[in-house]
Amino acid sequence: MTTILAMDFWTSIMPNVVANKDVFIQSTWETIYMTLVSGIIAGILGIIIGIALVVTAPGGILANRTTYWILDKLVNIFRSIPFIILLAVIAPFTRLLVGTSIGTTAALVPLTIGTAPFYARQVQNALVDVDRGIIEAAEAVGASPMQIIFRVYLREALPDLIRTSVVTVISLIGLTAMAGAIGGGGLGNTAISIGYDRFENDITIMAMIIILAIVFIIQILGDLWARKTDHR
Amino acid sequence: MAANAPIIDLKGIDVTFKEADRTVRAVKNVDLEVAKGDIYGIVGYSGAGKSTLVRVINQLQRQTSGKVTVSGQNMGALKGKALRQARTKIGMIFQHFNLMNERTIGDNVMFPLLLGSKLSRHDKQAKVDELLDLVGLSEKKNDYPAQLSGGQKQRVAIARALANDPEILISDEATSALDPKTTSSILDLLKNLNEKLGLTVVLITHEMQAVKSICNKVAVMQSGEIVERGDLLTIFSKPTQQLTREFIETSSQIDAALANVVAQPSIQHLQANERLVVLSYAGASTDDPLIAQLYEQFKVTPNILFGNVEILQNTPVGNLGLVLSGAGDAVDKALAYVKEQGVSVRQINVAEYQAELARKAAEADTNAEGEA
Repeated sequence: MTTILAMDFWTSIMPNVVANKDVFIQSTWETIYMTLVSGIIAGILGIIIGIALVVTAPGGILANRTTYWILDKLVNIFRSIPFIILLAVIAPFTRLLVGTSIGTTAALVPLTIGTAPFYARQVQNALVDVDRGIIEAAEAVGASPMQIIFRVYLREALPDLIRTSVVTVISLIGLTAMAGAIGGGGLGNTAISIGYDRFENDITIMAMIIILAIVFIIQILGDLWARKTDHR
Repeated sequence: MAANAPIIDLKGIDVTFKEADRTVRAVKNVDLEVAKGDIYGIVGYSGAGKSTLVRVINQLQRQTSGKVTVSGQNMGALKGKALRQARTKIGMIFQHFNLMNERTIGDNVMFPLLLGSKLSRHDKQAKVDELLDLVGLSEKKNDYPAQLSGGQKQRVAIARALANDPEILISDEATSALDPKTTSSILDLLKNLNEKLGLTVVLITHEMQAVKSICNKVAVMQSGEIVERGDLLTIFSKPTQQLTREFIETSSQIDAALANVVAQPSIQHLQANERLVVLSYAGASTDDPLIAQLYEQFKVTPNILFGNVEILQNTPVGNLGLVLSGAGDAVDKALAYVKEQGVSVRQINVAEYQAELARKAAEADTNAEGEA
């Protein structure tokens, strides 16, 4: 009885959402899939590039002017390209890599390339904040560069890396909303191509609510984790 | 290595930093020999090159030229793994402790043992417990650095520096961020480790007080050079350089006393037969009734303005500020006699001294502005 009444309530205020329930389930899944996969790949790339930037920078533990200069410029260039243009520009590369330039899987390539440099910069900032004296103390007890990277830099910067990762994932969710442009699907696509284009406002609002919910959950979990690991 | 060879032997060390528009020669042709078991103090104002010089010992700073020998090993020739291995035998502590914030106290001390030590996991734990016990912080093992006071953090840093059983401990301004009471407890700990473990300590500081309480040898650095060096007593009782004297006077508060004295009207208007002097003496001469002799032999009247006696390495070292007055050349004769007794004499021209004080105050202000 109550279920039917509740259903009536939702049908009355969000008729199109109820009618397109399956679309929502699918597009939510697409958003999560794109965020997760490109997040993991971009995360690994970003951490590697971020570490490389810090250790090869002047005064770093493996200072190397040329490597630093090249990485620094690459990161700047890729960060400067607007995502919607990046989608189009790297389409041939995407086709080469995943066999198609259209669809959810195809969207992973530009999402990863769009996110990795941004994350690399964030990782670099987090690692640079590790006190130079702590690095020097590790060198003084005979730590090797690899030991300093894994046992000092990443360990000491962990709370900041978690915070920074949250920011990156949230911005990545924002980017997935544009994946619709190449048939990537996802909640952003649903909001625009169904909600906005067909004047079905309740669909746009519902898509927004789901995205907000995902963002809030990630933010809250991230904050809790960062606080738990932070002993400064 | 010969039995009596110095454990640290620096020969002709030069360190030059190239900056965009200039080169800075931070260390200039420095020789330094530290014997096993020494507590060697290196004193100087900030920017004198002390930190750069000691970093050459463990090669955190490579020398531009010169030779570094530590425990018979030519450090400059070492690279990669061999250098890291050599570094494990040279512990180092720092002004800002440099502990890892995200590791517990126990894990901070454990850190050097995680880098390639052959000890079993159980033995490593036992070593950490032993070290924490040595510095008196066993009950803090599971705390994080943020929960500790400055003195406690430095004790953890000392335990960490000792984890690989080094023969040498370098202390880079390790007490400069601590209050006086904590400073002396840390210095006592270093002295204790020196006696108990035979640890050789190189201690850099800008506070002569620290040197005075534990070092047996001292070098004074200025603009990248060692301007004076020797054993503690000789340096304290017979400093030859102006800078050395400044450090000593600051630490024994002779400078404060003198500044007070020269501000007195009676001192500013000394008679022709009156002389303001500071006598410094060490060891046996403190026992002689010197002041009484001045009057008995030369009819010179000493007016004592200030004085202090300190015990350095079980030897009393004293400073006495006097106004001497006597007829004719009696004062000069008396001072010559005093010098013969092994007491160093410094005559102070009140007007010049005041001008000097004013100049220094102005200089200090300029420096403070520069730093701000």
